[in-house]
Amino acid sequence: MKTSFASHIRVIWAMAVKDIQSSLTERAFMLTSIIIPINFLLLFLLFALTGGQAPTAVVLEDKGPYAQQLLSAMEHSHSFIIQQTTASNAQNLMQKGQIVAIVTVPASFDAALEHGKEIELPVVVNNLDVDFTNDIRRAVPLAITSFYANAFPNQVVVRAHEVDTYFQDTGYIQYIVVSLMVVSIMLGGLLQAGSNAAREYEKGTIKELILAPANPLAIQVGKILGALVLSSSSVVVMIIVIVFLIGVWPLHWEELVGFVLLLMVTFVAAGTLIGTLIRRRQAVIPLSIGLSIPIFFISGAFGPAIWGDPVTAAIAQLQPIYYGIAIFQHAFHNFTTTSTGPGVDEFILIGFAAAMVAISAIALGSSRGRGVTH
Amino acid sequence: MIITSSIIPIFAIVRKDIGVWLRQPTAIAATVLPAIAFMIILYFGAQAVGRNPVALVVQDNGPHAHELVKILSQSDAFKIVMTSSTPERADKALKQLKVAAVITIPNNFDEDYNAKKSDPITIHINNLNLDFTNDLRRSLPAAITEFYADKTGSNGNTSPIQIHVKETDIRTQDIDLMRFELVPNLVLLLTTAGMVNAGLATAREWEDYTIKELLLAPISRTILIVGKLLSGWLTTLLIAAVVLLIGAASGYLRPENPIYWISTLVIILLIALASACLGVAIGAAARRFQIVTAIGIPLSIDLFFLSGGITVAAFLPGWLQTIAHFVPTFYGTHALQMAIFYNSTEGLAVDISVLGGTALVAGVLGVLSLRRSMLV
Repeated sequence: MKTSFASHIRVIWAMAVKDIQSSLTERAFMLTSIIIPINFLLLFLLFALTGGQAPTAVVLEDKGPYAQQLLSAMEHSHSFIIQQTTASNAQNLMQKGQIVAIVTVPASFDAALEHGKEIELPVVVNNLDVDFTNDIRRAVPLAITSFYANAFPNQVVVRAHEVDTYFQDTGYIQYIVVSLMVVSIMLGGLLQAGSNAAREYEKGTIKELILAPANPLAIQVGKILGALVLSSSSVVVMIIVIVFLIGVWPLHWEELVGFVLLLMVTFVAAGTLIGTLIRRRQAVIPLSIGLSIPIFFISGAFGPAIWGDPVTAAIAQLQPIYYGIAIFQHAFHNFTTTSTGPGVDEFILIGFAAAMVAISAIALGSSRGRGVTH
Repeated sequence: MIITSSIIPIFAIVRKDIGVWLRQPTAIAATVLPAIAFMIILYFGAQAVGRNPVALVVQDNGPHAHELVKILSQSDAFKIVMTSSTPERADKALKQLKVAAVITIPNNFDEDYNAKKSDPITIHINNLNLDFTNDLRRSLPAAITEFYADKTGSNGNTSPIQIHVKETDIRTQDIDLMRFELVPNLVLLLTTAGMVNAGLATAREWEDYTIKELLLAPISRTILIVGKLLSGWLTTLLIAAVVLLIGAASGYLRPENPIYWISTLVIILLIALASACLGVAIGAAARRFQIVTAIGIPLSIDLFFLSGGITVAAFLPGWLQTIAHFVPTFYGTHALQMAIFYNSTEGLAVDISVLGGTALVAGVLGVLSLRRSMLV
């Protein structure tokens, strides 16, 4: 029994060392496999910068107190990025595509309000797509009502009183960057481990592995270990970027370290499985990217998935990214984003990791039964 | 005679490359997977826009409270998943993450409204992140706005709100999010197809050692280079043709005025040419499949994002808009959106100039890279 265990350890070690050495001879791919997840992280951060607020020019033809109050209501409506300017400059900005709406407060604004007369508020909209345009269509009347609630509290008495669960808001970037870290770990793991596994088939060395008197589980565990070491460089770079450059500091460091390792094992094992099944390195990259992007989107990257479409949420709960994002949000912000809670999520992820390792070993074992063609 | 002797080998190279590509499902998958992935994202994104689940606690049975409940229930900003008269159930749902917020209409709502006293409605928000929180912050005042707008005519009273929005749209029609984002996705498909397919076709000559046969063949290197560039371009256009045919048949990518087909096709030809030339340059420099896909796909996605692929460029911060203006696909996306959706040639001259210049630079890069690799 002891001999058998020792021989398994030798196989695991030999496989890991062999994979690391082989990968180090392909420096260009090593570099790109580090860059791709980081690139992914930065690109989606750019997407998050949009933030859903409309860059809007406000032209105040009336500088009276009511006009100023309307401007203030717009600024506090969480809907606009306001730029106060002249009519001609606003047109210029619109033509350059730097703003999407112009709101003009007419010269008679204050006088008309004082006399209870009706006022037309001209709003020019660059109605590029209906989603963004409707945001503006909703936001202007909203700002008007808020303005009335402050300027004429006896006329507009109904108002919203907000109570927050957490004592401070977490910025969109601070939230999404944690989700991005999870998907970047997924992408890095799939790319590295998938390529290592597929390389055996492309170069024909899989025959030697299969004919070797070694347990398929030990071989796959060795490959997983090798890929873990190789993909750790991209994970370290990512943590440096998120924590030290972007400044999102985890509240629970010990959880972060443990969860990073857990997720790396899960996705490196998944990558080994993909590489074993598709056997072509050329296909590993598009498949990894093609899988990661939609899974990331449905798994609650932007907020709890269970608040979204029920069918999508049900699908999301069948795969590990959903639980990965949840436990990372807990490690960084102490948030609970699933109904199961971080403790259960962690156990589910351990189950996914064990299943991935076992299935990839079975896939390698079945190659032995089917024979190898490449 | 000279022309014919040049055309035959060029045609042979093109036919061989397209034939090999058609027998490579992984190459086809590598081309279409990123675009399909982003389409899935757009679909889910469009479904999820601003519809957070909310619990409603109604403690007043008066007519105004009922009116507000009706407006909240019909709101397109959130969905009411639970209504109760006591707060306990709603608070429990908030703690269990079944709802994102709890809105409470207090028991003196009608009384305060009629007495014109301050009449607050409480919204308890799970403020996990600013995006969701701001959606909810906007949604209740939006419902209050509608509540006041409903005052006119419904009960004979005049709304206290005397400011009315007079909207002027600068485009002839609104385009829905999914359709609007189809254009950057088409550009993504073209750039991926050009870079990956032309890159793979070029790298394949070195991976399979067939470059030796090509170099030893009794043809000039110029013919060889033209053949490789042309095959990359035609392969890309083949994919573009399929997408355009489907888009035109379904109406999603059909310019309303047929004259705009001209600018649409010119832009597509230029994007395909620039991408294919860049692909040849990458393929000749890398000489490896794996590196071509590792560079080509992420580069295409970078260009897609920076040209406003997943959002509207006008909503990006100023510094990012400035960067976008240095990205050639930004001009391609802009020109196609103007032609297909708005029957407009706004900025077309600049768009064509930038894309033409990019195709020229990419062509020079492709030629130089191929010539250099053939010599080594």
